[in-house]
Amino acid sequence: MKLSYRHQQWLWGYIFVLPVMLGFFIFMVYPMLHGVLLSLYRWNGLGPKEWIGFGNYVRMFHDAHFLKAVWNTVYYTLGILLIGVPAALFLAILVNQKFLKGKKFFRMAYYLPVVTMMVAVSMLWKWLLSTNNGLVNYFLGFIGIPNINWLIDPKWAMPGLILMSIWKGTGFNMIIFLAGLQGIPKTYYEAADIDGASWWHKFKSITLPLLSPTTFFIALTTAIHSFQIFQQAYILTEGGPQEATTTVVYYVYNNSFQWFRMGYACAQSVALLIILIVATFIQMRLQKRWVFYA
Amino acid sequence: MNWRRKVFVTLLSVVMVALFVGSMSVCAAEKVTISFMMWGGATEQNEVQGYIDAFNEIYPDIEVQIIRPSDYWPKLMAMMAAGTPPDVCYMGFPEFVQYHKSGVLLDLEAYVNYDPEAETIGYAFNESDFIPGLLDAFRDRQTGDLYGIPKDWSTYVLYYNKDMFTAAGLPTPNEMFGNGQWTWQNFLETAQKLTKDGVYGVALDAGRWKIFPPQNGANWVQGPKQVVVDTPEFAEAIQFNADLWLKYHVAPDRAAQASESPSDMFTHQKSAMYICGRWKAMGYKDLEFDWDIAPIPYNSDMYTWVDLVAYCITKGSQHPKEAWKLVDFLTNIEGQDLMAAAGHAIPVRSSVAYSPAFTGVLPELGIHNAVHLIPFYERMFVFDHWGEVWTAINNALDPVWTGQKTAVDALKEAQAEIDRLMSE
Repeated sequence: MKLSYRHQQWLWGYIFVLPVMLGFFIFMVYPMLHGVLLSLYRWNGLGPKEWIGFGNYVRMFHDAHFLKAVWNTVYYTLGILLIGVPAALFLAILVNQKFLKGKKFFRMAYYLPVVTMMVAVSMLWKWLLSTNNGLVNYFLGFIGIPNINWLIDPKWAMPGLILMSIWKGTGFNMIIFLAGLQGIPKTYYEAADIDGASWWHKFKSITLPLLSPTTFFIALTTAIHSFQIFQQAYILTEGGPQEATTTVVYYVYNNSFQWFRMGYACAQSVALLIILIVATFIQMRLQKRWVFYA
Repeated sequence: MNWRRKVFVTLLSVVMVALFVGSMSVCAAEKVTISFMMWGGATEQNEVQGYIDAFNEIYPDIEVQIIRPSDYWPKLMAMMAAGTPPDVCYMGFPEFVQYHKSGVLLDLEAYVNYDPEAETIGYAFNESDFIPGLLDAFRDRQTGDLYGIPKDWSTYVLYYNKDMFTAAGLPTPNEMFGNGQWTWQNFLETAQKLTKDGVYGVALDAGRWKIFPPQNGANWVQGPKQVVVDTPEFAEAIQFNADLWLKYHVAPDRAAQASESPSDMFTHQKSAMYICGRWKAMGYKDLEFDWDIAPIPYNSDMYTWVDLVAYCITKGSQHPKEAWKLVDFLTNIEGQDLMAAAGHAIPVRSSVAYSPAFTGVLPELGIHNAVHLIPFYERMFVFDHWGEVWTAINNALDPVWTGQKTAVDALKEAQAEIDRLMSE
């Protein structure tokens, strides 16, 4: 059967996309759907499954540990978004200055932690955050702050984790901000200079608005990524002093592999997915208000 | 070539190929590969490889493939769910309960009774040779059938720095124990006398609290669904543990434990005593000071914690007979002799454990290995929701170690959580 030219183009398009779509469906969509299905059963991971409908979800709402895990994760995500993202922007502006020598060195230096293995970074920070021997407390001592029990005090465990994650992940956001900054035409700044605008004025009225698509992208991806943290909680504090650093994914891990509650763990994963979908939806809606596409 | 030649050459090649393929399939039918899943570091894998090489001297046709994942339990669960379980695997005595309930382990009672390998390896299975109580941890609660064979076990003991005791003019813990003077009070006084010049009397990790409550008479596990922790005896024991650093300052507190592990404190001579399991002993082989092991102290009762691991054969195994041959070899006299020489854990058979193969380990240091074998000293218990109950208790006890809460208050919360778990 002879296809029209347009239909032939479509066919080739689908053929080229087929391998990736196949992989996507087999390794991502199918397991996800299977996980959603599993969340409707009580299953210990080894034996027979028992159908309980929405029983796992009802249980979740009453589970104080799960709610604490969600709160911990929100606390962590807010910490990263409110401190880490501005820090990345600040670094990007610094590294973009004309007068700075060795720009390439600093860009590499800040990006290096991003590509280092989380396990290695966690072992390093276990020492850095050590109460008596850690470097962080040592430097805090210079400005007169007494030793903080970073990994032992429930109040300080999550801030310690946030600190480590910012150190590790900011380089990535910095690079993206840098690309965004370099995409702003210099003519705007020159016009502002002619009008005698101050540094803060230029930042507020030129840089931030023209950077807003980048900022939106970073805020969205950082939020989604932060909600799923596991490795830091697992290696640094094992869920933390009195569950202070038990995040949702860590709680899922415990439930599925340590406590033989596979169905319940699947339900929690689905809940996490729903939370993320809602959060992303809210962000997309708000985007109309503050993101300015030039 | 003429056609006759062509036919001859073709026939010859066909015969050669047929012979080759035929011999291959005959070889394949003889050699069986079984998979063996273990946990531990590279050193342990090397040792296990040594045992397997000894096994292969008797059974050259059984090839054993070692699987050593970095995260054992998730990997085991995944393999079982996928339908490709290992033939032989390690199984801890607490985890055994859930795995057996799910029906994924093979009933070994037939193998144990029939014992087809008696002639080949030279020893009958001989259940009575096992140290009392070890086999029962792996029996079905109703039928009494065996589903796992213990591979080794370990008890918590007290490691102590002999040089420091001599310098302080104190009798050794072994001597004190022999004189019936190794109660909590004696232990505390000894630690106080040894705590000086930046050296702690004793160091112990956070999770070792589990040795103290039964020593104080707190029988806190009364059944699979009955875990009672908010008793005065239990609270007293926990408070004693916490007071070692909160009140008496003879042990490092939580912050100090995080800065330098108690094991390192002992090896760097910053602590005179250290409570831990057997597995540390071989790592201390080359320490610069004289050390020994002694029983841990007691109060109204004698008790120490037991860790016990078994070999299990999975129900999905394609080669249960060969898997049994391996398990039998490793848990019988010859396999246990090899394991005893490695020194990390205690052999499961009385004949090996009480022989010089174990009691004479590390002869150059002259340590009292037999301390591990003191009878009436060890009790093992299991309860439902094992992982969650321990997490609940540890979370509740966390503020006790930093002095923010008393043991009595913290244990009330722990009990509430345990009751909630058990009532499901």
